[in-house]
Amino acid sequence: MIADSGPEVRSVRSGAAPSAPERADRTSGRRTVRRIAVLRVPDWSVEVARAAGELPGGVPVATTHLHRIVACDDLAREAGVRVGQRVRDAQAGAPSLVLADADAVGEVLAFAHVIRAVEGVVPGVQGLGDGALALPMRGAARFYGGEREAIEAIAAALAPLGLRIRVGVADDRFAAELAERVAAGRDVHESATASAHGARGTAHEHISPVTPACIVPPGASRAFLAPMPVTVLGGELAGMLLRLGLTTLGDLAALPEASVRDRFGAEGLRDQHRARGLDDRAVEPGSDHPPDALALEFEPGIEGSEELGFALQGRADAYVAELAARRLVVAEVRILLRADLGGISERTWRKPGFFRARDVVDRARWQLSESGLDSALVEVRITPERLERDTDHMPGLWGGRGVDERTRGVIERLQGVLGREGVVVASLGGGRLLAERGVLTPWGDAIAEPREGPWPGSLPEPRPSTVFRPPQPVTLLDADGSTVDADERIRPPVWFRSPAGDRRRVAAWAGPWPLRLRTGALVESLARIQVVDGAGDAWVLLGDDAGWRAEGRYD
Amino acid sequence: MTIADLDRGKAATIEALRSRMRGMETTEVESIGLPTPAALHRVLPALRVGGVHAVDSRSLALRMLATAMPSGGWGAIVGLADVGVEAAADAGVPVDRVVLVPRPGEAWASAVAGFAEVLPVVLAAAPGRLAPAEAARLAARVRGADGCLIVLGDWPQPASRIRTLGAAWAGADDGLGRIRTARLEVEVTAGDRVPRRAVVELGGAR
Repeated sequence: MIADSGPEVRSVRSGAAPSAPERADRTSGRRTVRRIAVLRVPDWSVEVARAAGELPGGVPVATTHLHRIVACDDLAREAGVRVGQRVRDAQAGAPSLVLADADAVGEVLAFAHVIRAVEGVVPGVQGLGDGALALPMRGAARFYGGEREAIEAIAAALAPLGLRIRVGVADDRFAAELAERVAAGRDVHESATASAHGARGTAHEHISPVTPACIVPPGASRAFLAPMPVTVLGGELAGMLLRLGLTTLGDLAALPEASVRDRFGAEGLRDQHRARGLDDRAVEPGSDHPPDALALEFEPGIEGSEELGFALQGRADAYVAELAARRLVVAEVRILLRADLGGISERTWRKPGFFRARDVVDRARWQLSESGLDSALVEVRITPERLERDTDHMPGLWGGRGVDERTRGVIERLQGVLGREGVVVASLGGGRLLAERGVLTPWGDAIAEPREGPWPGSLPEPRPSTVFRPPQPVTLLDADGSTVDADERIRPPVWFRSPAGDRRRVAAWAGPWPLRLRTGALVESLARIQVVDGAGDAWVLLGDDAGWRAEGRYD
Repeated sequence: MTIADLDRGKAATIEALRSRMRGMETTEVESIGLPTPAALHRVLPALRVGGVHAVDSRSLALRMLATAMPSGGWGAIVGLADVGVEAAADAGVPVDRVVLVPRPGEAWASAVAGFAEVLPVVLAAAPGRLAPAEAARLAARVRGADGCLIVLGDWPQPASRIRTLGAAWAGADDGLGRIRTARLEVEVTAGDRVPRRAVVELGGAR
């Protein structure tokens, strides 16, 4: 049923005559309505990998980063592959899937060609990343005699590059971005709801088959957005809104502004403006892609790491500030040092959080002093290997967050080497035995709810920092050197043989405390004691007919 | 409750929010180091960031991990297959935000370095044997990442070393009572400074 919604959208046409809001705008002219187009080359990451010869044609293909799907082509999509999916899952569904690593830097560089081609038709283009760009539509529509005509002019300019495009046009950028998704007829959930409402009244039009495009008429952004699910906002707010029963952008738009500000802060207010079709982000030409690298050449070359620090500081400050202005931070950085006589030192640096200017300078200095370059330094090239949105590095104000992507990368790499059980998370469980009160669950699995207590007989604080899984056999001897049996009353232990086998004197002991464990119908009786040995360790022992076992050690 | 109490509560809330906002801004915390348990303040006021810190008591290591982990952040524990989860929680470690690699085997160094590059603090059991060159390489990666590695056991030339001189687990008495507290006497060497002694009281008194 959902799959049919695409064509349904296409059937919604406003016809030749301008729609009511547009006419009103033209006649009254009381305010200038911006028009923004968002254009996307679908599956950009795949296109780039294909152009680089890394992916064949005629089979399902996808690009990946950190074991997740970044982009895939139509064949792969038909086979059930989804962006964001784990590679393992994708391969399970589509065994013939051919994969290549996504080349983030290559994608940015290649997209510069697209931007240049589009700028030949419409000036003032802003790259948005991931194969998308935004451009101001008002002037272009005037020049080409209509928005549809302007879109076809752009499509014609890109034809020599052999690229397909999709376009969304609206008064504001957020609505234009969603219109572009509707134009794909593939983000089915949105288009399904959009078409249901769009059919009455708002009428956004669809150009096909030449260039898939969705044009939201002037003034109609809010109505266009109203039926869309809040999940299109992305971020943490969406989940919260859903829990509050606010499922569509229309619901969010209808809330009083003051309440949104109080409850969700500035971010919530921003999202509400977007939901109302009032996204105030303008098209900022030129800020298309971040500066590729920070490169410095020295003539004459410099010798010491201190000197390098001085030379680099100002430039690094400016560089990081320039990224910050785009709300980006450097998460990984590659530093290349080239010496006068040709020696090269190249290294990638990582750290928790992100690199500030000072961090970058420090890394360059360290690298120089450790590099062993034997002639003067003539060139430094600092390339951000990984840029991230600065918001990813803000502690979540609105609820907890999982680990960041890089930590997940380390975990998944380790799970690849050690197996899934190799990386675990701990949680507190129910039970009387120490081992069952600390539960270890493989990373990625759901953590079971702790069993309901109460648990009389469980050990109170302090609890041993070592818990043996399973308990280790030990021996307790009395003053005569004979074994102390586990019973409700025990003879005073004097000697203790640890799991490692060494004999230690018992300095103090407490217990025994009876412990009754039920496994189904089976009831097991155990005795638990604490033993402090002469070597500074203390132990928790479990005893039964078979003897004593160390359950835990205080150390 | 009086109006003054309410005002105080409000002021406390505002201060808490402010401190949270400060935390989001770029700060100079890195150069100061990560906090240490109160009992160590006198002898080891902070764990130097980018350093490897050796400690031979597991209870104390868990406490150091707990205080060094930034609130809301994640930590990692590598190579402690038999760690007491409850003891860790008692020590203040937010166990639901710790990644554990109980038996890293050959992958010890790559696990430790991998986590040190992405998490602010990592606790790892010193491996049975580690070539000096490999230890130096790992230390360099930790330093490069501004990570903070707490090693349970020994480490060549650590940024700080805590050695337990004596531990007294008190409360058990010839079958009566139970273990209630512990008193660790430790010797702390930070960098090349003169070793200093401190007493750490462990254990819930409940």
